Amino acid sequence: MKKLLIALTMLCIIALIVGSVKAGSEGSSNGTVTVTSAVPTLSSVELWNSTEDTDKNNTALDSDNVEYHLNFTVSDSNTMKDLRNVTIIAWDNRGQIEADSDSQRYHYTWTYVNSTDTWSCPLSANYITTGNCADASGSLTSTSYEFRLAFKLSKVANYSNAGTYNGWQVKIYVYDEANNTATFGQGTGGRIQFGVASYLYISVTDTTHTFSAAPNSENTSVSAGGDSKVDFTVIANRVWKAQVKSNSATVNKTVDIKFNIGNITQYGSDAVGSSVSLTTEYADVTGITSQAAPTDEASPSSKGVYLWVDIPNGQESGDYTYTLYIQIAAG
Amino acid sequence: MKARIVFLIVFLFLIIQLAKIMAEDTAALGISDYEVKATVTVGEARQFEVARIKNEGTLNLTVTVAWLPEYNTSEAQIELLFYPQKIDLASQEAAMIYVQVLNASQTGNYTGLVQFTTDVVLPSNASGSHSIPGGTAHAEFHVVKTTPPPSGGISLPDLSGITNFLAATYFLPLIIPVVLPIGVLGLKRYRGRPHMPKPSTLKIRFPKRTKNMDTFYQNLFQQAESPKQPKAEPSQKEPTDEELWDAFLKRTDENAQAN
Repeated sequence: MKKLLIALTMLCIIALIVGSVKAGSEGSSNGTVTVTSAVPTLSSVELWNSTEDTDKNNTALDSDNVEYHLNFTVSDSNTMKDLRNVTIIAWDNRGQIEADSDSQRYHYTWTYVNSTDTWSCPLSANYITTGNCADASGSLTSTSYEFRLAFKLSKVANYSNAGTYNGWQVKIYVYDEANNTATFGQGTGGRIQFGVASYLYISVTDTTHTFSAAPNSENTSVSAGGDSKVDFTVIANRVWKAQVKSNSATVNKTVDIKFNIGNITQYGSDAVGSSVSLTTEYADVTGITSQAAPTDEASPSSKGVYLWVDIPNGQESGDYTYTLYIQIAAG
Repeated sequence: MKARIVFLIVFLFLIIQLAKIMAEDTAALGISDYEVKATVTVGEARQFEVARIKNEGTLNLTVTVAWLPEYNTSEAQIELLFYPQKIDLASQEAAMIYVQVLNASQTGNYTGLVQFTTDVVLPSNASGSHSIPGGTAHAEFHVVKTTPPPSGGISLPDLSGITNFLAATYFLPLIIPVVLPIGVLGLKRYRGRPHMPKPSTLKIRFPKRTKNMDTFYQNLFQQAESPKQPKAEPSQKEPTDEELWDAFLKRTDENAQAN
């Protein structure tokens, strides 16, 4: 009997073992592997001229709509498909902050959106050359790609000495689909910065001007473009002033028939009593000094130089000419 | 009918006048001033970018470049070469202006303005005196002059008058006490290094009877990683490279046979 019990017990154990083995071979277990979102990284950030043969980091850039390239490598272990967008900000760090709104004078933003494969500059398409930008749209399965922003600055982008931390700063943000962010620029250890070269532009609207006066007359106003001032427009990226001079010491009919250039006087507004004589050296135009730079290059500052002439008694009739130079200088 | 024709003529006249006003010629110059600040040795052929100028108007410009010195502390004169010195710029054309220092009467600082004077070809129907644009760029040169080497001496830059030049402050105090001892120490260490065979005398022969190459490389790496051998006694004859290599090959063969 005892033996029978032992045999039965053994049989049950064997049956259980066989049963469990059999059950294991016929069942299934669903496995899930979760690939987490890796944080993107930014490296090799460089600022170049448009031919990429001159390093422009810490140098003065032209504000005159000249193209520059900001190159940077974006890496993401989840591949470039995982990128959502790239944002690049440049701002004048003297009195402006990164979060300020865009303006031609002080602040620029450029963006790349991966889903639509589009580069843009919300301020104006004038400040980005989308055809020269580079992105990973053709290499979405790669884990690293060198991006390129081809950008320009407005003519009124604020003047700044190059190579100072108080100049223009650049910051780059890369976001992936999980909102992980890579950042480069001020406050992150890396830094790209630049100055903006002084830019002064003058367009003389009234390229000719005339006086018509009788001998022994005083303070006859000039006639230029339908009014009594020589008009010009200015675009600058710093405080500016207007200066004028004559090309010669005399106003000439012939070599021998002439009168002194000092008989022509100039001023920045219609106030002959305050006017000063023209000379052959540049002199400030009173009233057109310490002028603020325009905020939009499409809206230049419009100014005019008022001129008057005194004709000496005994002057022969006829046409007398000279050349008036107008220039814009800092200050 | 007559009234219509008159109206049409007046209307056309106004359109033409408006078009004339819209198409008014302008003389315009844009200057990107790089405010060049350069330290130069007289006679050296380095060039510097002074400014980029652009004809922003509708009329063709001829631009002439000249130097206007300012703030010179003495009668010192500097001779500069600008190029181009004169350039024709069609509408929307731009040019870079460069400068080179040809000569200076004294070392020191020279500041001044680069004057851009324009000449404009106005339409033949233009009458009256011309009003045309000009402009300037700033430039500053720190001039140092190389003096001829005195007999038995070395030639050093003449830094007299360069008060704000870094090298003037640190040149002698830094170069002589720091660089000279480093050079002497380096020379001593170089002389103390053991003789290394010239690359052309290093011959590599592979063992003929090696059973497997693993053993060969094992010995090669062991030799490479082994600590430096103490310097041989001066009285002992130093084995030649050939002898050392033969001994190494022999040991390789022995190890191979043992394996």
